[in-house]
Amino acid sequence: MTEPEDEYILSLIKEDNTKEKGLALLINKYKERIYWHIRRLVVSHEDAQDVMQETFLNVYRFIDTFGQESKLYTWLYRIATNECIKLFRKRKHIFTSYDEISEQLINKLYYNTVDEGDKIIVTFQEAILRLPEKQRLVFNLRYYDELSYDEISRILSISTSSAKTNYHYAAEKVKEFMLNS
Amino acid sequence: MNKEFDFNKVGKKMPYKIPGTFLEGFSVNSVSKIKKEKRGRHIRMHLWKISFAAASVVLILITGIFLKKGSEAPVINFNDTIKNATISESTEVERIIRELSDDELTLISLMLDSDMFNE
Repeated sequence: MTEPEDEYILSLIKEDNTKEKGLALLINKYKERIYWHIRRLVVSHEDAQDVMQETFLNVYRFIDTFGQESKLYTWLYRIATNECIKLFRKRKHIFTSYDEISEQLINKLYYNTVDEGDKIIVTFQEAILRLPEKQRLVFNLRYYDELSYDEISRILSISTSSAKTNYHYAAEKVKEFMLNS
Repeated sequence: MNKEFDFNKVGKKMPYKIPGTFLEGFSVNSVSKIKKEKRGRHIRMHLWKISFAAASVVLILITGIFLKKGSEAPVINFNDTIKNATISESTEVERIIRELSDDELTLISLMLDSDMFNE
């Protein structure tokens, strides 16, 4: 079955009597992609579930403000990323530094891993989780979601050159970690 | 020797899986949560209308008192003005209350019970 076009989904959402149908189509189209984006950032399924729920509730709350100057999925990534950052900020009250949050995420990584046999994949995730927050966000969006630097800059409200630089440094650090582990 | 790491060795595979039928159930759950949120908004709008009507009644009463005090030979029949105004505002409040469902009325009474200023 072909996926509905974003324009069609948005036209349904605009009308009060078809809004719910439009939202259901939007969720169905993007849920898996958004789930993995969130899961890569927050690691545990439980956190991913909460963040994803809040993401789509925000989509419902603010869909009327979506200006269509960016693509629908870019807007969804932006909301999902902001929700993940909100979660990290909340955790910062419990943990004193970003390093502690990072360590906690790495612990969760080893706890949640189902495929112990593929050690290189787990180590690769650990390398990403050890990156500073911005580099980690940029790296995931570029490496896994294959978004352009322009799209990444819109999602993270940074310049395109900053997105490129952050990706470059992130990739170098990941390489170094992989070669030394 | 400058060693290189080959990203293709890792690819895009993740070490975790999505549990069970989470994604299938997610759409249904989300739409029902959205419906709840919609209903919550509707109730909040009603509450806002009631609060606005109540505030209007209070404002009319206070204005009436000041008018009475400020005028030596009142032209306006104060009692009738207040009575008429109160009746029209009360009718609006009653109409809104009549439109509310049992669930909404229960929610309002629970909110009023838990009001921090309601001691």
